[in-house]
Amino acid sequence: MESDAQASSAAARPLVEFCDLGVTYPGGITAIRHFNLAVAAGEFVVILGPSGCGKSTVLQVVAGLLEPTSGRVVVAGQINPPPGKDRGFVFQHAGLLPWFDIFTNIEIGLRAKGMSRKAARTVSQRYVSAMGLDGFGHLYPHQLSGGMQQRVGVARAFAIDPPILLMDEPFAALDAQTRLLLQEELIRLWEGTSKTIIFVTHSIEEAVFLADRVVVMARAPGSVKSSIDITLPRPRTEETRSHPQYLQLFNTLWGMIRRDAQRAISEPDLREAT
Amino acid sequence: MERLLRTSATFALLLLAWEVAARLFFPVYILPPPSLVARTLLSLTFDGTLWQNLQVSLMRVFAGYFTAVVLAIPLGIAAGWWKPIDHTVGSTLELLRPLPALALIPLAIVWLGFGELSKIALIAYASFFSIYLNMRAGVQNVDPTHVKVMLVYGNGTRDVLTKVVMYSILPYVFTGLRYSAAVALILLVAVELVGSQSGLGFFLVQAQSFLQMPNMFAAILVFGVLGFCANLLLAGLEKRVIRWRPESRP
Repeated sequence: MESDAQASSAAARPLVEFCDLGVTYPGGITAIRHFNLAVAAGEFVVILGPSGCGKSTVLQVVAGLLEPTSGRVVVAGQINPPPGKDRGFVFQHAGLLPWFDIFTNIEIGLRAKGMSRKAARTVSQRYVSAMGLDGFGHLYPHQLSGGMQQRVGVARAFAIDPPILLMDEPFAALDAQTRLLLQEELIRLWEGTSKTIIFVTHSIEEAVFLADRVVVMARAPGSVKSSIDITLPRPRTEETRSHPQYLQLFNTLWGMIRRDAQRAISEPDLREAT
Repeated sequence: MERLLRTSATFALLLLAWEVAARLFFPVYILPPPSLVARTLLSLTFDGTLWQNLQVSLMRVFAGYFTAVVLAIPLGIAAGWWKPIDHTVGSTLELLRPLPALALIPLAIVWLGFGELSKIALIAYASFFSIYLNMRAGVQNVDPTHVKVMLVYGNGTRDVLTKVVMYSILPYVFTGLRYSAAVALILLVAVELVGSQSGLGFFLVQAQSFLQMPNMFAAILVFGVLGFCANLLLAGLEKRVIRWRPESRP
């Protein structure tokens, strides 16, 4: 999508930059504080952290759904931008509208962009096929399994062809096997593009498998603890999971978040609804 | 099938017991046998008496119910969506809600007279609240994720209203409509019993003063059928309109 010259200048100025971001909810709970992170164009960044560390909050701010209480996020030069077509969002429970069929759900972003009904249908048909949902386009979401629903959620985000994709624990609600399959589908889909992805998860395996870089968050309030480059070769396939480095990276990351995770299950839960 | 068989057998047995009891132990002016009630109902149907009264009653109940629907739906949506409206109009309505509509009958007659207006107004008043409250609850219970989905994909308030709110409140709409239909029917009977020269309720009072028990039973039966049909109609409509979820009643 970007030429080499632009890419090198993008290296100087990241596509998404969090500058000392802080979010305190009206109830007084501080979800994140002093959150600093720079995401380069085309990078697949996974934000990893135990539940309640504010990682979903970070994503909501980038999406423009939430105003930061301090600091800022800069997206392609725009400070604290409102929601826009340059960012697609994949929700945890797919977030499909139950009264619309699959096609119409995928077309929500396209129609908002002002695309005609007919043109939008052509695009949604292409993504229905790409996600292996042929023949399901006219069904309602409740007629699909959780895995298929989330495929629709991913298709809806890709359909508007945004340079940035924000994914909020998109596979967390799925069963373990479906989860592995959808990770592989996502990485296949993404590796053919130059999209920037910010992906939030609490699954270490998922982080290692998908990311170029894993950002580990500390909790209460959430901030960046450390960041690890995942040097596993691409394209990532099912073989990646048996790569010798894979287990090593897993253990390193687990070592980093173990204590926080332990604390998360032994303290009262004060976090924001995610 | 098994259920249908048992149910109809039970009904048949009950009818038979009623018939026998009425013939053996009670005079007609206390308990007429079902066969006589049925014959009376038939003759009332054929000589036009029933239709004549039913027509008047249906007009009243429809006019009142329809007025309630037309007022309650937009007001309920507005109160659910905009806090300022809820805090002013909504609170005022909350203040009125505990007043039993039946207690307002004498007042309505004094203010609006014995004519159609007082009857329609009372039916509208009583039916208003459950539609209004359900609409308001429906809007307030819209899934915030659905709103986020719309916003994040670049939709404005108008699209949030037409593509999310309008759909998510539909189950609430029908709950309100069904409950209100039952209330409207109760009010119809009440206003016709108290101050009326026509209608099915008036027919009922007349039957009572002349001790025409078969007529009385026939009228009660027709009221029952009205309620049953209203519910059936609305349930059928709900099923046709809300097709996206196997069960979606709040």
